[in-house]
Amino acid sequence: MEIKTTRFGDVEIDENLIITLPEGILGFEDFKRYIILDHFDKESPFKWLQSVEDPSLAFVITDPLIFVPDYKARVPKEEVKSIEPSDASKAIIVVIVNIKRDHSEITINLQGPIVINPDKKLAKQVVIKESDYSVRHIIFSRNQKETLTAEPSKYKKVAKSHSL
Amino acid sequence: MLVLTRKLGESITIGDDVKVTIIEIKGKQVKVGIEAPQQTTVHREEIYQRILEENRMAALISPVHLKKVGDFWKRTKKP
Repeated sequence: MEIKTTRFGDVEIDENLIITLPEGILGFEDFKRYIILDHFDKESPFKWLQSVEDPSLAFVITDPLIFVPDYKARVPKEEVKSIEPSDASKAIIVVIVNIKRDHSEITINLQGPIVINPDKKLAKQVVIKESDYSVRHIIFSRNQKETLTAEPSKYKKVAKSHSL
Repeated sequence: MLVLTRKLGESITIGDDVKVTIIEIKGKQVKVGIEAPQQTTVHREEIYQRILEENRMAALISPVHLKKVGDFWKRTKKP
């Protein structure tokens, strides 16, 4: 099917790959269906979570393990009940990326990850309680170039294992 | 807003299935216990608000922004 997007124009997508967030994204509860789109550059660790229902609604997402290899999102079972995970180890965790308007900083939201159940194509943004993880974890800062520490080789491996 | 005064150990019920109990009072801190059905999500207001804010800002990112980011990424890749 073809969907309209304000950022990428008309995009042909495979309907079977549509992910449903029964509760939507916090602040955007009206929109439940999304598709993951590649960024123009396939080497990029970033992807787009594009709403199928609202052409203008999209988020940049990434695999948190690329930037924080020891990231562990402790998600209580009841939090993800609505996405029916049969096997927690199969769940894919992605985080939303933020970019400062002046491009001086890129951050990822480690406290509000999105848990995806790839089998059922269901997902939920969860809030991690009692955590030291930041909603604005800096992965790149112009003043401190070495912040972007992930090695591309590592990225590829992680991305593959998560089949993102 | 409905304002109720409660003593230590007393509770408030909300609807049929939510119960809030005052468990401890220590100076300026109050510890509350919440009993609610599994599908009811309970968050500290400030965490919830922070994530909401981040989502709203994140939704404003354009491919141009990300392109710039991609350039940073490439530059880091090729030292």
